Amino acid sequence: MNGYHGKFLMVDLTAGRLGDLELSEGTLQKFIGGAGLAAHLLYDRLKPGLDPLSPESPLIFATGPFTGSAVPMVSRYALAGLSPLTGFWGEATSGGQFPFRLKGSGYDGIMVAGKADRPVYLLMNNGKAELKEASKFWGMDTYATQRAIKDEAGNVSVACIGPAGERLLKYACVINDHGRAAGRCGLGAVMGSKNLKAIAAGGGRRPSWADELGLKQLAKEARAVIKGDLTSKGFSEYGTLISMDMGMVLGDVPVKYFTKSVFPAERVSGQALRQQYVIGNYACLGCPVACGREVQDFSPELKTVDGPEYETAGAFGPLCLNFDFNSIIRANHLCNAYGLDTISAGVSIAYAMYLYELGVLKKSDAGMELKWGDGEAVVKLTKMIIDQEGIGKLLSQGTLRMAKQLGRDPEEAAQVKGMEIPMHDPRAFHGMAISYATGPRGACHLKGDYFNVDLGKRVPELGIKSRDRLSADNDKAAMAAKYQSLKDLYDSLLLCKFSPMSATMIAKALTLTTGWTCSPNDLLAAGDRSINIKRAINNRLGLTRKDDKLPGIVARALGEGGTAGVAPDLDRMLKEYYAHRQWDEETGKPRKEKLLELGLQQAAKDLYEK
Amino acid sequence: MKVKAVFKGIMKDWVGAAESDFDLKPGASYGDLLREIHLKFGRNLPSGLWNRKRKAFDESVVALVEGSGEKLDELATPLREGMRVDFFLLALGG
Repeated sequence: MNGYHGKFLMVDLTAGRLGDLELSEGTLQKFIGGAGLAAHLLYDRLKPGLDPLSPESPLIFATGPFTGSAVPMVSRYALAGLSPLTGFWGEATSGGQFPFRLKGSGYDGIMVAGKADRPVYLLMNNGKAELKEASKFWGMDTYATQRAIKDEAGNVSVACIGPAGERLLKYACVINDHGRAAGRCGLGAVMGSKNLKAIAAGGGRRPSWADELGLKQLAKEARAVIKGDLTSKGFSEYGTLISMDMGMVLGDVPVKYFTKSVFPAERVSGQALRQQYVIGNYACLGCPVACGREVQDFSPELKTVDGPEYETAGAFGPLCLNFDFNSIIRANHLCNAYGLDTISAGVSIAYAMYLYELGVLKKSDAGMELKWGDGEAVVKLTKMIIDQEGIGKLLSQGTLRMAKQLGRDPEEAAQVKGMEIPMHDPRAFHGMAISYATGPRGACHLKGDYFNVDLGKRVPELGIKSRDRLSADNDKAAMAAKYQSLKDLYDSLLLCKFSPMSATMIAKALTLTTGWTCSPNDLLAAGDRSINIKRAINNRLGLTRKDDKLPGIVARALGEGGTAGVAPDLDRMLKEYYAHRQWDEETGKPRKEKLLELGLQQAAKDLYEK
Repeated sequence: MKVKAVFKGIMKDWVGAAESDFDLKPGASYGDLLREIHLKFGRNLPSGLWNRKRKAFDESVVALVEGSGEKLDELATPLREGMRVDFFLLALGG
């Protein structure tokens, strides 16, 4: 077997037992790795009604076939399980050094089940693994935890939860390598529910590669592609905040809780960040782009602090009508230090401000005024969420539960399937509307990032072309489905979404890594399989067609900016999407013949014979 | 007719100007504007930014009409008097 170690570490925290789970080459070829493989592993352990925070609920850390290879932009890992925020399939990915170290430990990933009777961390190094006492780290923030475990365990990289995960907050995340986050779906709370504070991984074990020389040559070619790619240069220069000004013109950046789209973008752009602060770059291992930002000499207390990504700056910034970078950076730091998803936190805070303006929430409810644009309130509310103090308890539930608890129309909650909508307004790119409505983890801007297609990033090998961004015409939904499958596969391969490698080059890299013959269409088929097994998981957890929707707050046309007067025709796109996917329009399940075609026999049986 | 080109974000760094006004012939097209931009700033452009064959910026550059957000793709697209075209690098996401 090439490209993989062929085994996961199985961890039963209740029994304190560790063992190996052998993976066949056939299984790996089918599910590739990362989140796709995690879905396969979770599927077999899934029971309808399984509480995401129960000991039986599995949590999976997975690398991909490229992890540890010379291919650039591949040091990522996937974290998967059931989401306490949505109750459905949950996944998140993160980059840094940790993914290389995890694979270097001699395993392709870890499956954790059970619950330890006291806080522990898992130490993996060069084929050995052990559970270590972590009571002394419980309560520490993520930065202190990483430092303390490195002091104790030596040359390792650490992925850990902070107090938000320990307190089981519904959108707690997992942080690795300083401030890199597997942010979405609340999987930090799953880790906390198991009393698992951290994974510390080290070692230099690498699997064999089918064609090592060929892979090195391809890696060299990929680096040349990246070097010549203007978009990569832009991310390198200004980080992900580079998109703020173009996003504003297009109506892509949501403003004032999705009710506006025009704002002074120049105040919260990548350029503004660089003008106002001393900025350094951060790169995941082996990445020549280095899109991450570090803010130096931020304050006497915070010498170096992680710079906000676009999503974070959007959520704590324009979404709250806040254009004060200082408060955005502080809110981001709190989320990283305590382990909280910045998108769900920012959207929940913006919803509170929206409700305050309507008079639904009052000063007496919040203990302060919740005025639009008040950066200090954004920072204070973030801390109140983390500390479960006052109104912070309500905001920590996410927007859907907030609406329900306050007796508001759920159409007002900016979420899909319970997960908060990211900072790409679906009115600006109608392909995003269908991606959000059908995404396996709820509103997800990463599969697919269709805004890039409609702005000109084509995938000619798969017939994915740029069209009118404000229209459902010309097979928009079918094309969005294809792109969603392709981008879902990136999370199985664990390839950075910013990689400019073509589908042909990716397929070649997989061939050289594994020895399998792969074409772009094979990639698409693997992505389809991954989407469908996640769909089957969600169907078994009760998801139906009625869950594939956008809330009214983002489905109504705005009166200003780059999307004025235009709203996506979701019903039309859903029909086309379902037809393309061969999903049943009534039940929302993949049709039996589709599941069988993809080799998902067990899912076909579970969805149609039980 | 008068048309303004505005170079946003990193495009400003690469072109070496924040904006520039052009006096184009009546009925001028998007391609005409690009040709004028290249005549004025071509020597400053970093490698890869200009597609010589197409006589246009690389496809990673997005041109949007101010106000409507209409994306200009076809070089033959006619421009209008007083139009402002904003140029961005296609870098969206994160």
